[in-house]
Amino acid sequence: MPPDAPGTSPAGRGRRGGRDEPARLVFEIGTEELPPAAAWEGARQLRDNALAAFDAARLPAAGVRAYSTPRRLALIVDRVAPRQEDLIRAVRGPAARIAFGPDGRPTQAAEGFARAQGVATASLERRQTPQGDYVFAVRREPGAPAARVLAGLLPQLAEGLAFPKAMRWGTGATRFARPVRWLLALLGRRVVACEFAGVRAGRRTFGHRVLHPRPLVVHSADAYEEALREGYVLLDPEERRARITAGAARAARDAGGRPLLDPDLVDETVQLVEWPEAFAGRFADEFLDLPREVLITVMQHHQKYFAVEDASGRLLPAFVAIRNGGTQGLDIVREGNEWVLRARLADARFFFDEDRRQPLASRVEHLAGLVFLEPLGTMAQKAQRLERLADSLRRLLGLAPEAAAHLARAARLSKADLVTQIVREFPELQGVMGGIYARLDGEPEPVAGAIREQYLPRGAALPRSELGAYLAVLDRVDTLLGALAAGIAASGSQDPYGLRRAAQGIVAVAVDRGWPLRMRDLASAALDAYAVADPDRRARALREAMEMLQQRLRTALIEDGISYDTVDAVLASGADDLADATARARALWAFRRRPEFTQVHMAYDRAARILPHGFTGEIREDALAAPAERALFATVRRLQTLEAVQDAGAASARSGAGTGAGSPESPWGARVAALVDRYTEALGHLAALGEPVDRFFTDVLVMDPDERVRANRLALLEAVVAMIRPIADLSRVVMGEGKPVAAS
Amino acid sequence: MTFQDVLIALERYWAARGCVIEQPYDLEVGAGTMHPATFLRTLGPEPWRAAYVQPSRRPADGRYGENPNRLGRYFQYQVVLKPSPDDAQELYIESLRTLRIDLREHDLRFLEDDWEDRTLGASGLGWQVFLDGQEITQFTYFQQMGGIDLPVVSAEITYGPERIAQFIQRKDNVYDLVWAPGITYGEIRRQEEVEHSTYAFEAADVPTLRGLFDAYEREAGRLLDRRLVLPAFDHVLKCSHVFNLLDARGAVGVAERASLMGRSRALARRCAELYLARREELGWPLLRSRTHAA
Repeated sequence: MPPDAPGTSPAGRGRRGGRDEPARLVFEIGTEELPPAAAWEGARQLRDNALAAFDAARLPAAGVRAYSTPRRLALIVDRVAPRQEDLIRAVRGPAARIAFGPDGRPTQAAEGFARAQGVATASLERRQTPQGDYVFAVRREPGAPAARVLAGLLPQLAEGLAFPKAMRWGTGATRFARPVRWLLALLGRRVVACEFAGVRAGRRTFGHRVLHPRPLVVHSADAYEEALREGYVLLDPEERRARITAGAARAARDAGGRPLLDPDLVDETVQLVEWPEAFAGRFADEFLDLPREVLITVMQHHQKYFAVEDASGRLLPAFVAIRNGGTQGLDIVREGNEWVLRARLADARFFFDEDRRQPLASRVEHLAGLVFLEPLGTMAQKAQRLERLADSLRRLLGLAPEAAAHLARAARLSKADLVTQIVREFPELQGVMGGIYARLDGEPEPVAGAIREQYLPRGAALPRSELGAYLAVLDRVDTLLGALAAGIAASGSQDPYGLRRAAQGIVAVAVDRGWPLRMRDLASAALDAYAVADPDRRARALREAMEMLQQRLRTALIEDGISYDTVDAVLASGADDLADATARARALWAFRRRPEFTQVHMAYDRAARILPHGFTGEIREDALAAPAERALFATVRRLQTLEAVQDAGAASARSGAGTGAGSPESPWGARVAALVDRYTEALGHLAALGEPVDRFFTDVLVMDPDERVRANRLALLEAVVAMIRPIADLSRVVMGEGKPVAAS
Repeated sequence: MTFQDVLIALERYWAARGCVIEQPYDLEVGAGTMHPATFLRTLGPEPWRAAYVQPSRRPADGRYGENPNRLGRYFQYQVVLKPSPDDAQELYIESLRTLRIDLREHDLRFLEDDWEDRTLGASGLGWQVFLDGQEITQFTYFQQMGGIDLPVVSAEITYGPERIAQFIQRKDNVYDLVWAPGITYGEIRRQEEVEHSTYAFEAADVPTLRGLFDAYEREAGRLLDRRLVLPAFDHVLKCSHVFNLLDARGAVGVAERASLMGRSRALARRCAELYLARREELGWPLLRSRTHAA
């Protein structure tokens, strides 16, 4: 059967044999060993970009997915249509009354149009449009066969992959995460002829480097994964992950415990092996004297091993490693790995013993040789500032003498571990080692604990000790204000000094601990510690710092599920005290689900709307004549005597709330919850304003022509606003949004 | 296999693959990359393949001969392939087989490791090669040298021959390695490690070293002005070594550190630029070379 002439049959029909059926596509980019992050990211992009590319190319495709191993990125499409969809283009020509004569025959105008469009006059279609009837030339450009479309599409997909770090190799100009060495492109049983990075696509792939060094020839796209399996490659990362975690558990069980499966290390390991095989090894018991964190870091960070612990959570002198390959020679591999770990642990032991020759406190002076951040001086200066800031915090929070002394000591020692050998070797142990050495030096437990926790929060882990929380916040406040005063700001995605992360840490800790602390005061103290004198620079740094903190608080509250308008209403009333602002947001968000909320909102909204900007006035009781005036006045006076309402309005009273309710370990730990209750109670009382305010606006003309009457009425409304406004600027609440959702 | 057998096997292997067997550079350098056979030859379009042993000085890593793994002076076996061939990794893996390492009995990994030398303005992407958990080689595709983007990319393979010999001989202390039949690495080198550690950490005279740095830097600049790139480069290497000594001696503060590295990098960049200019004036001689087909 001759090939169909274009246009004589609809796309994809009237063909015979397998080629008119949808076919499976495999496109594999074979590379040298990819960095794990590039392998994960490459597969993600390959899939996402392929979905868009197939769509744009009008090539129907179903079951699009992508996989990666250390040596390949693979796109698999279960069903690719045999042909691209036809492109139908309708071009409008002359109006029908011009195109056809009274006899219904095409006029010269119609013939000319058809000729210009390259279609037969008889094929012109008459269609209705809003402007009347017109003729249309409808041209159908038949879709190309899938193989031809893919020949152009697949190289573009490969080119479109973007890696954070790309490289060139040889004499080529292509940039990719690592050199591209082969391409496999199969549509059904046929090779899709294409080229990328100077490599022509074929049906060859490669298996495991060592277990199957020779090429694998894949006869059909359907046989791809199986061919890889025969070449000792598991294509699907999730299958490798399952094998790794199950294998690690088994190997650790044989060693008498269970593996510590650090999630990041598991992710990384998945992309380091094509054919995972877990095995356990051992190290000498004597190394168990080293701190647990050191052992885990040596195993995970340097050797990519999983540590093993027993049922009681104690480390065992064992590790689990994942080999890339099968079981052949496994005892030799185990021995080699044990031998390397022994040398590593001997190094760590050497560093640890060297470090222990000198007390931590004696290292503080060496910090003068260590730069903190280029424009912000040395770590010695940083430690001195932290000590000063510790004293400011003592004053601001009214810390007991013992806690204050411990905090000052912890601040002084906080950075000393940066000049220890262990931390130079394992920078991620900063803080942790300082805590360990401080304890061994006989420093008080709270001091050691605070040093240890100063870099928290990391991920979800917050400082557990009050002193650790203080030090963590002081450290970040110092960084933030120092950088802002030096004119360094975070912009867009650029935040090289980690200022946003610092602000986020401050918010998380301050809210968690419930401190009654005006951040502006602490920020100001930080500028004093830097001896920033220029008032403009001070003002700018303070403003930027407070904005950043408020922005991070806003993000945190919204992430907690509070609607953005609730958060904005609360923040408009100030967020200097981060814990207090959090309590107001939580209270208001819960209160919005109650029917009384509309009462409070209406009272505030109507009163605030009519008040001229900046209005202040005294209520003169004797001038209140109308019953509606008197009723509202009575309600206002009654509410003003309520303690909860007074508390809500007075920052000083708020600050104290919750004090004493917390434990000695966390003096203000219960403060946020107590404040939420207090604000909720206040809001409940304030709902009583609804009815009298409503009546007031119905019965009384606020803008009375008599200036004295008018001023008195405005003063009354101002009192209404003044009771609510310290909680939130309710005019920012969007009614109808964030409204009570049933049963939530 | 003795330590020297490892070196000899690598020499034979790479000689058979078209490499010039270069000799160690006769100045103190921190790595084989600083040998002109790598640093300068990887610049420009000329093809080049070379292999050589390079004694590498890292004064700060000296441990008085007491640490089983750290040395103030050790050896690198350096291979440079320009342009990087498509089978660079396979060539490397094959070389391990000539060291009688049966890879089916072991676990070979290429672990991402991007390399940067800030005193040379050099960077590349590649891997640390691990064998049964032991790092035995650095494998790098150079992208920049002397701050200049490389139009032709070289593959650099840097073996740690001590590590490999330890692996083969199953010795967990480098000083126990059998260098040649009947004599160990320690018997040959330990005194040197002890004395050089003492020199680097205790005896080196800081004012003298500072004076040397300044003098070498001036001399490098003067020679560059006279377009004598190879003598100038020698003086950059001397600066770099003096810097390493000052660093080991604990005499370099952080701000000064950045400044000294920046001065060294600026000189390296001028050397790279001048080398390119000189080779171009000479008509890129190795582009026509018959004796050295890649």
